[in-house]
Amino acid sequence: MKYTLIFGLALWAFPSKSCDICGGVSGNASIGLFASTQFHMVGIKSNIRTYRSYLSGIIHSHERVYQQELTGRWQLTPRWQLFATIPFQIGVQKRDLGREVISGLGDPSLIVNHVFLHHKDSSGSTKHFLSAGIGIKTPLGRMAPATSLIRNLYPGTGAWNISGLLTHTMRLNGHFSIQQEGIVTYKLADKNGFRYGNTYSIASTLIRNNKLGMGRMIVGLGLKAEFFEPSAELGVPMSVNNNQGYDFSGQISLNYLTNRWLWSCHLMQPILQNFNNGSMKQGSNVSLSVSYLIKKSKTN
Amino acid sequence: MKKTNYYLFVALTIGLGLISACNKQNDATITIEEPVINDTIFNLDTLHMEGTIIGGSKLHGYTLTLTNLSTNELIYTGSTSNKKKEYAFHEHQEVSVLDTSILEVKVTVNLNRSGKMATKSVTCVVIP
Repeated sequence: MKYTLIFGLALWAFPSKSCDICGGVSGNASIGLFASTQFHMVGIKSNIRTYRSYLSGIIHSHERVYQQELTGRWQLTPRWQLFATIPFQIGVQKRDLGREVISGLGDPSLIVNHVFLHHKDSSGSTKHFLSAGIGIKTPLGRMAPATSLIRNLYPGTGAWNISGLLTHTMRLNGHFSIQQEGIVTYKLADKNGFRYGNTYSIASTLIRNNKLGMGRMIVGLGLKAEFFEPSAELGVPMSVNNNQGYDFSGQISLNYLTNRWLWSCHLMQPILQNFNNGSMKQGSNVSLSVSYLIKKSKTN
Repeated sequence: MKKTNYYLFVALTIGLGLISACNKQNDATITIEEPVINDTIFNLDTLHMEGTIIGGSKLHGYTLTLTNLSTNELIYTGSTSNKKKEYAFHEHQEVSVLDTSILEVKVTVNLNRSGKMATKSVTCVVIP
């Protein structure tokens, strides 16, 4: 019965951040579909993102970004939630003539989310859910030196990000629900005056929730669109290699929820994209995560 | 006997064909986009070595070098033996000189396995 409370809430609780290589670094840490649950959670997530860089239409380098995150979610009250993540990142760029490896602590982020609407049916299943949140990404990670030419490979941006998040989930019928999520991220400049462009994303996901064995299998299938404004130096938008672009991606998420554990696998595959006038392309983005569920106290 | 001669003829034909295929003519178009010819950079600046190599057929790797022609010092060298029809390179090197120097960026492409090469180079000036 307790699982029916999260009915229809597909969930990548800490989905992927936007890419560093294309300048996303957005802190687009969506709160995902667990928003309407009342669990506290701690977990780890492994993520790999791939990119290809081009020169005159010829592949010049391959980039892989491995990220390990420590994640947490705390249900402060039935209406207020706190999400936090601390990433560690290894970025690898492979070229014909060399290889670069940059690793270190990424920028930790924190999201405070407020639940405005949470309608349930007589069985306790969610019918409508609406929440809004605000997030910050702190410049505590390892950032690139001012003269670095591979800035995007570094785990930190050296700048604050402020995100606004809006999440809506609606039950369609017995097994299906749909979630929409919109995120706007405003990025500040680093101490050298470099500023990544703001990002905007919207995602829509169809969710199926089924009982399976001792737990529940929650499958999400969705589309996501992201837009990146150009980066700027000392307040002046850059004209080339400015990380400007867009992408439309397909997403699949498989989640298995048991009494104490949540296991998740998330795949994102770009369908249509254009960054830096075609000189950079994102590849697949795969993440695996496991979270331990801490039942909230009755006082909550 | 006739049959033996026939097999010998076929084997020779295939062998000659293979040898011919291995040594077939190949060429490469090498474009060095950066630095541009006679470009001027300042001491301790980062030199971009950027360009493309496009082969008529599969190439057998290439070498990129940066040499100070004024002192004959080899500042940078990088090479690959990856076999591809086209390559793009974009390497960076901070340059440090004591006097005004002429630097040469040179690309040497292996056109085939028998060692035939194609080269292209540009020079630029570094001012201390």
